[in-house]
Amino acid sequence: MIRWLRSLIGWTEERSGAIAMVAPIMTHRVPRDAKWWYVFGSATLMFFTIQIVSGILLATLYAPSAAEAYLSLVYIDQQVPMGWLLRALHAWSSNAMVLMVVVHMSQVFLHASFKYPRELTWMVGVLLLLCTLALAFTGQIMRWDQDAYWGLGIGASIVDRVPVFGNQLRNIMLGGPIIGGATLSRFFALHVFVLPGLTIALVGLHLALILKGGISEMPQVGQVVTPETYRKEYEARVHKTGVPFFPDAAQRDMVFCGLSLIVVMALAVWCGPVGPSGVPDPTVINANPRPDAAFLWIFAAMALLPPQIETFLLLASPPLIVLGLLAMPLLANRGERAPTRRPIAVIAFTTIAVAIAALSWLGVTSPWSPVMDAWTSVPTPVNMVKQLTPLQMQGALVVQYQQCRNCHALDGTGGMRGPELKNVGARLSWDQLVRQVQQGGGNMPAYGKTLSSAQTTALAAFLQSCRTDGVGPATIPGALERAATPDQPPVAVPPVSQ
Amino acid sequence: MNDGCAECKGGCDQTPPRSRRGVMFMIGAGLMGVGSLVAAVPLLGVLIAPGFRRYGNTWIDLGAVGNFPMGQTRLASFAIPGSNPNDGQTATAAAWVRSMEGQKFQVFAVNCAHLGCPVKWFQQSRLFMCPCHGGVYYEDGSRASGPPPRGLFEYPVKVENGHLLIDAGRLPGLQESV
Amino acid sequence: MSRTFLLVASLVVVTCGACGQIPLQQSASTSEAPVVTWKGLYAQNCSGCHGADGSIGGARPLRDASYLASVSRNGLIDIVRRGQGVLMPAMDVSQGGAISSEQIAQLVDGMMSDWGQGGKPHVVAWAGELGSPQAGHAVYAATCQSCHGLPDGVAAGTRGSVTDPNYLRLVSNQALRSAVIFGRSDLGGLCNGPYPGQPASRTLSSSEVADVVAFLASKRPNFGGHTP
Repeated sequence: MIRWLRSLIGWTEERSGAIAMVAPIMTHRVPRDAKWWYVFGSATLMFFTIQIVSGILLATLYAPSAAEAYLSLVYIDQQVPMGWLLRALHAWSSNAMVLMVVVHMSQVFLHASFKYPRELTWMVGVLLLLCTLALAFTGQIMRWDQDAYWGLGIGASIVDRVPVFGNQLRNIMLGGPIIGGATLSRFFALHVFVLPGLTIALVGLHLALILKGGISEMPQVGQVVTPETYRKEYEARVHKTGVPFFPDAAQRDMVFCGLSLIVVMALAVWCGPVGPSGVPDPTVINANPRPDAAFLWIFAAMALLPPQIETFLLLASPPLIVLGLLAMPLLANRGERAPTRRPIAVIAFTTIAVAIAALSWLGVTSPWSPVMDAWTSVPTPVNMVKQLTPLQMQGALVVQYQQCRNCHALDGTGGMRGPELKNVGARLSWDQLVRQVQQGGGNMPAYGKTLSSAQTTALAAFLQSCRTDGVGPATIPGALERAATPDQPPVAVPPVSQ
Repeated sequence: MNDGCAECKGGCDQTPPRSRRGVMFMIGAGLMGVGSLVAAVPLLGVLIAPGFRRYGNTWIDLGAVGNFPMGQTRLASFAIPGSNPNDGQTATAAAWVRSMEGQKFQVFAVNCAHLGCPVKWFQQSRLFMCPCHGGVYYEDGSRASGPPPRGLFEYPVKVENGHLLIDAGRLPGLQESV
Repeated sequence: MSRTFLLVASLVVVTCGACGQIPLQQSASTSEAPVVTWKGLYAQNCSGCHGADGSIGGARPLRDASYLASVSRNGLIDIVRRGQGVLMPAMDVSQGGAISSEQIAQLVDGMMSDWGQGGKPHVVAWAGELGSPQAGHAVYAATCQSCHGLPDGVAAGTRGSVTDPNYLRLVSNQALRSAVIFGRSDLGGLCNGPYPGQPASRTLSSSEVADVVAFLASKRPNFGGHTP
């Protein structure tokens, strides 16, 4: 049996030369110290493979038509045996792939592995990052739910801001004047043909470049990269102390890949598939569109950009960021690789990482968004209600009725767009309260035309009562105090006692 | 066509003269070029055609004027004409209709002028609010606060035979407002 | 050994998950699951003003069996659908609100059966005509003034003025009537007795309620005939 097998292999090898071709690749020598830091690229590749396989299976079930896509997802989730698990795996593996790409890239950056002779490997890696993000974004569109529809609307609005050709580009992107069937088909073609094909080709190139340049060593202080002599030194070192990739280095990859696959599988089983959210009906305007996790930081940045230069930043920063990433190894292709000797690189990395993490968190909480139903669904805190006079009580109702609550919190509940009102009576005097409500300002709409004088007075009376116990109402030193007349409620709030 | 040199090593005089091979190469490259250009017309054409087409608007009936009580702002939905059959639900759109004294109307696109999210009308505070980045507009569509660079997109309106019509059909955006 | 164990474990996890169809988290993850129960409708549309559990809030508490028994089902549905006074918004879609007539009926029915359990209608009818302001002044002086102060608004009393013109412009006569009949016990307020300095058995009759509401209404400034 074994002899028969061996002769079969020999027969094939004699004709194909496959083993002769692959064996040196598998056993090429890699630095001995290439330890656990180096597993993330392999994990990315594994998740990409899973995406390909699960994606092909999803394509056998999914109907890429705007009229049917949503229903086919519901069908996959509810009727196809284990269909929901397939969707869950595709979604969670996609998140894992994005995460692994980012971790892999961070490691390469911190260890300065992009320096000579691996500049091209980094550049191809940057393109692979873009492909991964593009796959994640177009994948979100495939869900064809509310988030996908309005997410496309956001994309279209950004493209529309391009000077001169914006509208034409937008129509090319959408495949017509509206977000519709043509749009889904375009993004479907991107998601299942163009981007995966491109990614496969780039992965091949990336791997070929890795083989050519060799796996980088762990950075060591004093081991400076000098392009003129680096190759000779590296080869000498790897020849002397290196180990074969298979099985010495590959076993760590296998352990890490296996573990992360199990984690992703567990997430898929426990958390289930992502979406679909509401039906993609443009006439249902109770939507609250949010992008997937990988894009939350962009979503947050778009809320926080200064309006004057927003269009410029929206259009100019993506190409600038990409160009910067591509050009980086060309600008710094020699010198120290150790993070301890590259303080600027480490500071830059930390700054960017913290900024993206903070923006992502802001994207989750989105404090700039009004809570659309807070005015009817977030109760006035009971401890505040208990203290109020009849007029102030009407003021508390005005706060709800006029949707103030959508943007303002009372004792921690409600919107977060505007300032918390719990202590506003200690910050603003009566006149300041009335002025702010009527004229708006500081990113608050003016309510002067909407509120009757009675509503304004009740509102001011309530807001003035919003103070911690024992703190008097805010006053302007030296200014005349408002007299307590029947029309104008007294500044001093009557003490409450049973 | 014999230009394999392996068998002609050592003074093989059958090798075609260099000039002939050059001509052949030029003709081949030329034919390939022309062929590619011809083939590119439909390939590229289909891809970028939407950028060169003029998508006209049409007058769309939003229903009887009586459906929009005076002093209120109501959501009206309509089918987008000329959409293709596999658009499904996405071939519909919605607009906010503000009905004013004397049968005057303002009709706003639901899309926020910032990045196109659907704004919601609040009758009590007479404001439109956007759930994405917190854009707020007054009842006449003008910008009140938040990131939008302008007021809400407003459709041209006319009243015919007791019906309210708007000139619509495209997704509104900053370049071509409606 | 350990690799086999991992393999088996993961297979077990996967098959267990796969048997039980779609996991529970999935149905919750679809944003804005339709609000189906009346309590869900209440939390979404009413709790802002009427309180999280309907027992205390800025507006009248609805977890009040006597109130729910006095207001007819159709009366309540009408208030919810079309709004009332100045600060109760119309909730029906046809009125520019957020919920359908069917949902409103479901909400009111649910509220009546869950919170109106065993409630008896108050002896004084929920709705009624205004009485005499002069007679109402006397009723006010006897029963309201000790907490709500003198009616000219100079001394507001311990619980704040109810004759404040701005307050009166924001509450309807019906809301005043409901407050007098049912009180705001959630706030520790009495309104419907017993009144300080009066016998504990003292309650307001129908005509007294009509009078005191008429008195309060007479204190409301009248701009061009507009009444809330």
